[in-house]
Amino acid sequence: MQQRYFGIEILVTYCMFLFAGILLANELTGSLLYFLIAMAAGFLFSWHAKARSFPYFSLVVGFGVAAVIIWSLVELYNSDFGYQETLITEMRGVFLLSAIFSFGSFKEKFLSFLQILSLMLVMCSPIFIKAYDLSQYLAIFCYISCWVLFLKLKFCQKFQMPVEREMLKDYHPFIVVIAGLLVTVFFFLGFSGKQEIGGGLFYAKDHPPLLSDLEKKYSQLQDKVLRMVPDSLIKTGYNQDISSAPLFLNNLVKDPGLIKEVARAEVGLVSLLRNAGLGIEENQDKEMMELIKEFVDTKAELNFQKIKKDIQRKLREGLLFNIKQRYSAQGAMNKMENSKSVEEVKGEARKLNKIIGDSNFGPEQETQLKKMAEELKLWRIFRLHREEVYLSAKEELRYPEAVSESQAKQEEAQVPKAVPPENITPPPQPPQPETPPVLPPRKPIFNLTIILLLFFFLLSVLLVILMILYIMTEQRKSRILSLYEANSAAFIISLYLNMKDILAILGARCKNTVTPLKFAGVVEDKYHLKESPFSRFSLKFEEAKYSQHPFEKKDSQAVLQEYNNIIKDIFNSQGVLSVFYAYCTALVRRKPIFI
Amino acid sequence: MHALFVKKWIFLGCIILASLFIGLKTGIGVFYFSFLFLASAVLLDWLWLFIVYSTATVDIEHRIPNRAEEDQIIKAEVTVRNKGFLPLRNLVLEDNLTCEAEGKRLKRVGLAYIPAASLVRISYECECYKRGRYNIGPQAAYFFDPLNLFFLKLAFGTYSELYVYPKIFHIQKFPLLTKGTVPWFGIDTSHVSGDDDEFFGTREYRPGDPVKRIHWFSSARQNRLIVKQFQRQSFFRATLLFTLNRNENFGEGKEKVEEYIVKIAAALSSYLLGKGCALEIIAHTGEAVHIPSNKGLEHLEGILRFLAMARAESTVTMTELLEGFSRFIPNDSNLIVIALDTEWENLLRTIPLRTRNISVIPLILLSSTFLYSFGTAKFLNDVKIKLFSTLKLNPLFFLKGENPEEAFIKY
Repeated sequence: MQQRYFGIEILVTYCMFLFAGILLANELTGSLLYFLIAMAAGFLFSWHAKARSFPYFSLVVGFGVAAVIIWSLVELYNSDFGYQETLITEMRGVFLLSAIFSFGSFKEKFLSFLQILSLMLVMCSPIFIKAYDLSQYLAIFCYISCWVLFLKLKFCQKFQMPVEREMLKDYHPFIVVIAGLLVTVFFFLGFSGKQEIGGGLFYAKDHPPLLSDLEKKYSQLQDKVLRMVPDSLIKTGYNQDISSAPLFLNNLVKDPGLIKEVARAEVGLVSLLRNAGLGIEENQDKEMMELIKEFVDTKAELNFQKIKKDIQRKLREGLLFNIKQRYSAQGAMNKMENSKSVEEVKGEARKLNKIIGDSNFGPEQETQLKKMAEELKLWRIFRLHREEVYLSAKEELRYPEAVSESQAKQEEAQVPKAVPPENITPPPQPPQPETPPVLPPRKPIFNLTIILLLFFFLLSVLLVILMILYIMTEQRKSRILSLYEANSAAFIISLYLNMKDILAILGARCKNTVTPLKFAGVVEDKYHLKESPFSRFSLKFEEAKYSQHPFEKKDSQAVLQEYNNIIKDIFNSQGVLSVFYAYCTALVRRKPIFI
Repeated sequence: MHALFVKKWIFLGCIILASLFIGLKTGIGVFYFSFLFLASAVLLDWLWLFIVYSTATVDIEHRIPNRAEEDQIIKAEVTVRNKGFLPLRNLVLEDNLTCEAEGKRLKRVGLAYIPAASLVRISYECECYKRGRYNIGPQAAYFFDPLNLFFLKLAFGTYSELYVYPKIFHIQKFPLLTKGTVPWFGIDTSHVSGDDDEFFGTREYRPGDPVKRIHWFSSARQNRLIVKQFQRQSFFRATLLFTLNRNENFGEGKEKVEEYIVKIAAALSSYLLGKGCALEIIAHTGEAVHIPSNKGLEHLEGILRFLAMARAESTVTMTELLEGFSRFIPNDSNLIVIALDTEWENLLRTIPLRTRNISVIPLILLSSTFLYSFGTAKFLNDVKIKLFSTLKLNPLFFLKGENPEEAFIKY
C-alpha cells in the first residue's frame, strides 16, 4: 500500500511541474524540456531506489543544492537586478533544485520540498503572462486539481484508506474548488486591483516588454511602414513636395535615429498624408496615422531600452563588485522609465549622472556613459511629450500632428532636447535651489581584496581553533596514558569510556540502560568485528569497575592493544567521508582516537 | 490530530497572505484572484464542514475483550452508526488504546463513506504491551472537510475496561509438594485409577488404565471391562510469598525485578492450581495483600487480576513481611518464597517455620544481573553454597534475560 501511495504521489508531483512548465514555457524556452526530462529521470530513479538506503545521499544532495544556490547568486550578481531577469534566473534555479530533489524523492522531505517549489514556480507565472490562453487556463485548473488529489492522497495515507477507489469516487473537493472559482470570478469582476505601488526588484506595474519582443515588434512595424506609407503617399496624388517624402521616410526608419529627425519625419509624413489631393480613404487615413504613431512610439521605447541595456552592461563591467552603486543606477533608470513628468525624469537623470561621476570609471568611459545617460533622458522626455500631446489630442478628438504644419513645427520646437547632444549646446538650466554640500562618494565596500582578506582571516582563525583543539586532545590522551602504569584499572575504565565516546561519534550511542556486554554485542554486529574483541574489552572493563581484582601492567598493555585494534577495524569498515567526519568531530569534542 | 495538520495550515495561510502581499505590491490582478480564490475555497470548505458537523448524529459502539495476556494481540470492534440525514464522508475515528506501548496508543481509522441512516463496522488490532488494568478510550470522531484540511471533533466519553494479565509460561518441572491436608471443600478423584489411595468406586475401563486395576467380577457381571477407582490425597497446600520492593526494583521496562517476580508468581499460580493444589498469596505491593487459600479457576482469575495490577510500591522487607504474616501460613504446608538474592539472609527467618512442618522452596532472582553482567556465575555459586549450608535449601535461580521457563527445567 505504501508503495502505491508513493507511486501516485510522485506522479502527481511530476504533473504539478508539468503544468507549472506549461505556464512558464515562454520564459524558460530551451531549458524547460531538459529540466522536465531530468525530473522524470529523477523520479524513475527514486521509484527504483525507494527500498534502498544510500548513506551519503543527503550529502550529495546538499552539495547539489549548494552548487545551485552559488550558481544562482553568481547569476544574480552578474545581472542588472531587473525583476524579470532576476525572476527568470531564480526560476531556473528552482527547476534545477527540483531536478536534484527529484532524485531524492524517495525521502519524504524531498518530495515535500518539490511540491512547495512547484507552487513557487506557479506563483511566478502571473508576472510574465499578460494574456492567458486556453492552455494556460487548463494548466492552472489541472495544477489546482493536482493539489486537491495530493491532499486527498495524504489524507488516505495518514488514515490507511484504500486510495484509488476513494480518489475516483470523491468528487466533493472539486465541487468546492469550482464553487470557489465561481465566487472569486463573481467578486473579481467588480474588483479593481490596480494599485500604484512600485519600485525596487518587485516593480511590475506596466512593466516593459522584453527587449527581444520589442525588437521583433519594431522590425514588423518598420516593414509595415516601408510597405504601406509609400503606397498611401502615391494614392494621395500629392506631387507638390513629393521629393521630401523619401527623406522623411528614411529619417523615420533609420536606426537608431536621432530624436529631432524622427520627430520631424513623423510630422512631415503625417502632413503629407493629410494634405489635399485625391487622398486616401478616411479609414485608411486613420490606420496609417496609427501605424506611424505606433512605430514612433515603439522606436522611442526600443531606443530607450537599448541605451538602458548598454548602460547596464557598462556599469556591470566597470562596477563588478560594487553592488550598491549598480543597484542605485538601476533604480534611477527604472524610475526614469516610469516617471510621469519631465521634472522627475530630469531628477533621475541627475542622480544617474552623479552615480556615474562617483564611480571609478576612467574619463573616457565616464564621458561616454554620461552621453548615454543624456540620450536616455531625451528619449524618455520625447516619449512623455508625445504621450501628453496625444492625450490632449484625444480630448479634443483630433489628430494632433495633422492639424497644421505650423503647429507641428511649434510642437517640434517644444522638444529642444531631442537634438543630438553633439550638435547643440545645452540650453541654459533654470536656477537650481541651493543644495546642501554633497558628501564625498563612499568607497566600494565589496571588492576582491577585502573578500580575500576576510577569507584568509577566517581561515587563520579556524586554524588557530583547530590547533587549540588538537593540543587539548593530546593533553587528554596523555592524561589517559598517565594511568597506564599508575592504575591499570582506572586506565582500562578510561579507555572504555573513550571508546564509548568514539563509537557515539560514529553513530553507535550506548544508552544508560544498556549493559556493557549487550552494547558490545550490538557494536560487534554493526561493525562485523570478528572473534568478539569488544566483548572481551567490555568484560575487562566490568571487571575493572565492579570487582576488587588487582590489575597489572600486562593487563593495561593487552587492553590498549585490543582498544587500538578495535578502533582500527571499525575505521577500516567505514568510508573515507565517515572517517573524516569522525576525526573532525573527535577533534571538536577533544576525544583522542588512537592511543 | 492538530499536530498532523498544523504544517498544512501554516503553509496555506502563508500562500494566502503571500498572494495578497504580492498583489498589493505589484498590482497584478492574478494575485488578487489567487487570494480571493483561496480565501473563498477555504470559507466554502468550512461552511460545508460546519453543515455536516451540525447535522450529523453519530453513535459509536465499542467492543473489546475484558481480559488478555501480556503481548497478546486483541481485536477491537467498533460500530459507527450514522443516524443523521446526510451521508458522512472522510470521517476519522480515534481510539485511545491505553494498553499499547507509548507512542502507539492513538489509533486512527479513516472511514471514507457512511451513507445516511446506516452503520459501518470496523475492527483493528491492539497489542497489550504490559500487564495492568486499562480503561480503553475515550473514542472520538473527526469530521473532515472535502479538501481534507480542516476538521471538527466529536468526543464520546465511553471507556471499556481491560485487564492485561502477566504472561504465563509453562512450567515443566517443579519440586514435589510434600505437605498438605485434606481441605474441607471437596474430594478430587483421580482420572487414572490406582496409586496408594482409598477405594472410591468403579467405572468403565478407559485406555491407559493399568490392567491390574480391572475389577474382574464386575467386568464379568456387566460383560464389559470395569476398573476400580480410588480417591487421591491430592490436597496439597502452598503459600506464595513475595514483596515488590520499590527500592530494589532494578532494571528497565519489561526487564525489571518487579516484572520477573510477577511473571513467576503468575506461572506458579497457574501451575499449582492446575495441579489441584490449594494456593494462598501473601504479598506486599505498597499494601499488604493476603489472598486466602483456595482452588479452581475463579481463584486463579482473582490471583491474576491482583498480579495484573501489582506495582513495586512496597518499602517493606521480606523479614517484616514474614514477621507480620507468618501466622497466616498454615501448618503442614509448602511455602514458596520469591525474593532477590540481596534478601537471602532474610530467609533465615523461615527456620522457625520448620517446627510447624512447613517446607520452604526459595525462588531467587539474581539482582546483579539486573545491574551489570560481571561475575554472575561466581555470585550464583556463593549464594547456592550459603543457602545450602545454612538452610539446607536447594533454591531455584532466575537471571535477567534468561527465559524463566528454562530455569524451572534446570531444577
